[in-house]
Amino acid sequence: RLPDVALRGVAPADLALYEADPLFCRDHSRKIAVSQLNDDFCDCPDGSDEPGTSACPDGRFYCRNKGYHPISIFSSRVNDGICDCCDGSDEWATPGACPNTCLQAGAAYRTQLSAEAAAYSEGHKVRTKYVAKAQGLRQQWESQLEKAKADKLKQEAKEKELKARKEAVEAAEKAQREWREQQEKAAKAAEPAAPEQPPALAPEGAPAPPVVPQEGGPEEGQSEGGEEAEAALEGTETEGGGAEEGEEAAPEVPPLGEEDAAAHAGQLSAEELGRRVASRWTHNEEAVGDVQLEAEQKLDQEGEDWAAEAREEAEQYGEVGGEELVEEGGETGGETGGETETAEVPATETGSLLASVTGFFRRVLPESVARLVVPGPPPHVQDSEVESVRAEWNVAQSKLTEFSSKVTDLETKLGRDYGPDDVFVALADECFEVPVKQYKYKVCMFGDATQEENGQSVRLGGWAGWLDNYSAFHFTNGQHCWNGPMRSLKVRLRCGPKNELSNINEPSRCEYTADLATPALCTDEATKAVKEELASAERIAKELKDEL
Amino acid sequence: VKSEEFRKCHEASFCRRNRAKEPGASTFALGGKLQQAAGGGLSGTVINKDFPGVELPLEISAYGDGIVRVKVTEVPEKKRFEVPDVLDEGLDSKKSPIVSARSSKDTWLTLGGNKLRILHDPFRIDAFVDGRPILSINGRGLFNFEHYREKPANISEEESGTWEEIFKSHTDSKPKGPASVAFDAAFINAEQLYGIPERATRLPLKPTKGLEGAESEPYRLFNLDVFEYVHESPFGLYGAVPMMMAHGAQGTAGLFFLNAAEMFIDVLAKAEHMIPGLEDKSRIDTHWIAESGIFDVFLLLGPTPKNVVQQYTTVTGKPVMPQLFSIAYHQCRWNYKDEADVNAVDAGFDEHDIPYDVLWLDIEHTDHKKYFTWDHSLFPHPKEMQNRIAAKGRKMVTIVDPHIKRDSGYYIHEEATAKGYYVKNKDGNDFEGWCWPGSSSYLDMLSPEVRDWWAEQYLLDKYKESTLTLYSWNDMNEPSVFNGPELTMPRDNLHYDGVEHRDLHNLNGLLFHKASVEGLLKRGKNNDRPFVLSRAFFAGTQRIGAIWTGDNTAEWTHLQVSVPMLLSLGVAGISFAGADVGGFFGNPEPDLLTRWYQVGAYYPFFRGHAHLDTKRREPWLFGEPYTTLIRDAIRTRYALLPYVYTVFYEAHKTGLPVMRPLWLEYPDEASTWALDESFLLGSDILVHPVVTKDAFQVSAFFPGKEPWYEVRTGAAHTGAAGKAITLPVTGLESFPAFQRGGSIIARKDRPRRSTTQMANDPYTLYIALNSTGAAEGLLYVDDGRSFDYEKEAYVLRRFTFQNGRLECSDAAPTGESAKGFALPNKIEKIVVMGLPKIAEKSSTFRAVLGDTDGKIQLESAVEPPVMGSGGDATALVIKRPWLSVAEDWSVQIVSS
Repeated sequence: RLPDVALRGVAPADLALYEADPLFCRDHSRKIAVSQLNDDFCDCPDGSDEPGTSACPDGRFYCRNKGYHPISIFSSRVNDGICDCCDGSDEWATPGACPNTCLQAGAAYRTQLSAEAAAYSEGHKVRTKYVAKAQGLRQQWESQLEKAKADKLKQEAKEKELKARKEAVEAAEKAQREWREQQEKAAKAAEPAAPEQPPALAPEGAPAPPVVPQEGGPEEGQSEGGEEAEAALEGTETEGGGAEEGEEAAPEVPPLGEEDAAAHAGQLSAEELGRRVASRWTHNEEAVGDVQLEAEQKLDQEGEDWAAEAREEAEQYGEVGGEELVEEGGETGGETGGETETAEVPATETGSLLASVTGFFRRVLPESVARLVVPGPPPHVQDSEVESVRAEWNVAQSKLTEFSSKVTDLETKLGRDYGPDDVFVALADECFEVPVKQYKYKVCMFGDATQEENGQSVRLGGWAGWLDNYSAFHFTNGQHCWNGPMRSLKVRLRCGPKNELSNINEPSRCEYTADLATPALCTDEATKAVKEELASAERIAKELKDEL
Repeated sequence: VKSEEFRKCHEASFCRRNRAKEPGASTFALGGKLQQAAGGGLSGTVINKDFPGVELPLEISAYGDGIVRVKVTEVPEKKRFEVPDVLDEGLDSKKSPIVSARSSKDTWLTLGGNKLRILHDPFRIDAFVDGRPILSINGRGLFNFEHYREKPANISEEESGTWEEIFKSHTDSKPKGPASVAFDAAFINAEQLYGIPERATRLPLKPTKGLEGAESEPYRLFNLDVFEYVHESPFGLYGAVPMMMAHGAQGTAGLFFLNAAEMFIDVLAKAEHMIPGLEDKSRIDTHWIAESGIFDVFLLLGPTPKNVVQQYTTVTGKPVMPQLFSIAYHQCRWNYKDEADVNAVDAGFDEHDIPYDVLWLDIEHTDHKKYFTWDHSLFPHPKEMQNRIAAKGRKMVTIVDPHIKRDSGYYIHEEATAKGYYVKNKDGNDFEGWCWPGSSSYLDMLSPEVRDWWAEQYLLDKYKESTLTLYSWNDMNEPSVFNGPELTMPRDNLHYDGVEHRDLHNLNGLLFHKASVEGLLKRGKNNDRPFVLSRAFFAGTQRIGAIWTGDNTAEWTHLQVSVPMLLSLGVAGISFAGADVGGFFGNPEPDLLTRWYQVGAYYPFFRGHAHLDTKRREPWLFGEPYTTLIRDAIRTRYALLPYVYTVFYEAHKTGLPVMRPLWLEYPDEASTWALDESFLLGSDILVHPVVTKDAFQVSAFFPGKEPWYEVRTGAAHTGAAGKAITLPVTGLESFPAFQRGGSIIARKDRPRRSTTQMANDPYTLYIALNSTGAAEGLLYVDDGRSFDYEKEAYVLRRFTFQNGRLECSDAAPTGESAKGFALPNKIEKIVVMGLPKIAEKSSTFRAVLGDTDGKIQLESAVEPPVMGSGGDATALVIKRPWLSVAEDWSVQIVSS
């Protein structure tokens, strides 16, 4: 039997190691004598010869904490003048320095544990329901998917047939229109000073173009789309400008430029100058600084470049991805609270529509101009017939799109990882909200996380998956911060009787964290563990009481 | 950085005028005979032959053999500004008599073995050390003293900018007209120049004039808040020390120009214009140009670099003796947001068993940037928070900036306004500038009354919810004025007694820093050493407190330049300095952050800091291996603290910098003169920092002839006669730091939460033997916080090792040591590295306690010097000697 001092700080689980004969360091690097145990001198590189002193850098000290629960602390805490163990055993060199507070600690711990245990059992019940619900939902989704697939198949056939009909009718119509146009051109050519029609303007009710652009629907929709697109782009600019005019900003004053700082500074009030310089460090929205203004100018420039590129690309492909510009445009607004994500969506679509339309006319026009002389009128087609066939095909096409996206949606849903027991299926369509000061934070499972203020929403990010073995999930690629990262949010999960979002924080700029209490985390094991811990705490308390 | 925002020499009329001057005969001459002055020294006058009737009083004083002061000013009625609060208080009492001998053309002054020759016409000063000329002032005739004059009715074109000057949108009214002071100084036989911080450049000063190709800007000394400064730029940054040191094979000399106005300094690539009488000498020419003030120059005659630093700090004061906590690790960020954040960061260090001593709060902790207040929505219980941190022996720091929010509800503003304590604009109204709080005014710290009032604001009953464990941080004290010319205060602003801001600009930060330090002194009843970190500084700041190198960036180049920047500060007397570990702007990659911690662990001031927009980077946030490596770096600093504290004590006593360029210790080794990547911490630790990404080797120069022992493994390296060797870097954990062969370093190897818990821990002695098997070291210990050490309450021990015998003895001047300070600590281990034949298995050693006739044996073994380091090196490790550091004893090593 070893003296007590030799075993000071040893965890019961490790006793065998210390009672072995001969003695070795835990890592077997050295043989040691019993006298070297806890002699306040480090002999083992792993610190195992000094469980009860501070002599070894990375050792551990075990406190029994009778009445509470045992803990293991760094040996750097032993005899450092601070009470770490409630039984005071870590400050053994100064007897009386740390009164034993384990009774109180134990009582508090038991109160906490029983509250926790209650929450766990309640949460666990809900979770059981979730799991059952998950099974049902998954089956439901599977049968929905089957049906949607069948519908889609049927619809594909239907759409194909209608498309053929439509193309036949349109071919006839096209021949007819070309003939008519050539007639008109010939007539115009005869008139000396007839003004040319601007090509990009599609007149109301104009005949259908001979080639339907890949992406677009019917031409009327397209021309409307085109106008919308222009409007949307203008709108973006306007809103961008509005953003500059944020509360205290002075948008009409140009930034502190490279060469012309003096000239500009001359126009600034002293206060504005101060504000702008301050904003270099802060990138503060309130104080629009040169950094921000430069960024905005760059944005404008990029906008123009983009427009030019879009035209070019449209000529080549008949479509263009304008997301980059539009997203950043939306950004500008978002930063100053003027823009919302909803505004981005139509802007994106119409942006590319505009490009398609522009491209379309660029391509079509020379061709139609070239063909000036064509003999004889083609067979006549009724306008009403063209329209009805086209309308029928439109309906069929949009239905097909609908079925396709239903299939995709369901496949996505079914393909997702819902964690252990599929439990998060039950929360697949849920959003959680919490108000903090003037903001409302909203987290939608598998969707988006947003921060709302006065009805305006800033996107903190989109679903980016699970973290840390399903104990957290995160949202990434949210709206950009000035000179900072894209916003993101990490949500840490814990067991709770109901779903409750809390503790929203922003430890680094635009990197948010939150806690979500949810029954989904109240697993069998976790619930059992808490109950066991409570039982053990109560047993310890009882034993101690009996002893006393 | 936007360089066009800052004024160049050609945009400043005083610099333009003086820089354009051709060398040649000077119009300045000695006015008459030099007379013995009251209180020692000589006095006379200097005249300018272009302006008959103008007589400039001249004073020459000597302080011992190595320091000469030459002062030229105007008659008192003209009220030329003379810089206060810089010279050491005791300097006057050190004045020594000067023996002079006059001929018709010159006057010779004798100072011990050194001589000074004053040429009468033109006025010129040559300094000789042991008969060798080392320094000549006005040899090229560029001396200039523009006396105050009447404003002419018409100002000619070549005089443009003399009575009014416009820079960007700012007009400087210049009511006093041209008042520049300039001179040339030639350093004879010098091969390198150092000093004149602060700028992000190499340590040796490159020439700025007479270069092949494009002319460079002169070095500028003008304290400014430079946004995102770049490395390798002659640009002046936040602080200025107009002190230069010249070094060469024949010796070292220094020059200090006590002048706080804007200053430009040219260093010439090659000597231009013969200096009569010194024609055959090689030399480095410099040209110093100040906007105003007086000519007040200290010649520091060396002859060694250490002598020059000591002479300079005799003039401007020795560095402070810091509190122990303040040289440990500091954790800062703009901003720890609220109390929960503070608690979480504090807990993070404990969870990861990483020591730290101070947690810092930046500007966001205040109520709308009103310093000395709290944002109670974020910090509802500041006192409880500070006490919670203090319960673990740690401290906190809050920022207190010099711009005062113009807010009628703010007591500081109300009082300052009522009492007329603000700096005035040229029209005599309170100057209003823009800074963090918005519209702000600036206290006039030139006024002793304002400083006293400011100091009182630090008292516990004034600074609400502060505690005795709260220390301070003065940022933006250049001063930074966002809407001012070059982001600072207009030069024609008016201070106490009608002094223009232009006259004292570079002193501004020091005055504010000093007032804050006086505040903490008052609060601590003069027995708690103040700790206030400042960004702006001037000559003499070392007497006041610590500084840091401002807003650097998370880039490898900034890690690299941090070393020469700190070395340059040390050469200019400012020892207690550091760079933000990790880089202030931007997000460091984990390897850069790790390397920065490894270098930062050897900075005199060691603080991690980060900008508001950056990602969190507390040491444990990057996972393994980074957490372990950063923990190791910080723990290394803590283990070395007994040594570092001893070095700070040495600095406090002698003025020698804590962080030293190699040539300071090895001035005769020419290959060290241009080295500024490696450095010494004290004289016994050599660091070859790794400052490049994915480095697999560093070029390492080992000065001296003795071996150097790796701190991490104990492996010995020896220099290759004047050459650098290639040292492999085997991974991120490999960081080349070495202990000098011939030194003994006392360490505390037990990690703790903070320095407070280390107080009673035992020491380990690391004895690194030189080639003759000898070593020596000092250990200084006091209570780490009070001024009791000034009343002999400290312990200074000497360890010597010779002929196999280790002795521990008192190193304090007789009878002083240990009075009123009991040092209970024991020695737990003694590691002897470099014993001859230790690598041979056959050789055995025994250690016996001295004076016991070998009766008391000490347990020992031949083992790796550092447990678990894994290297091949072996040392004799004496275990469990449990000898008391405060007692005299000896240990004999017997080889058998």
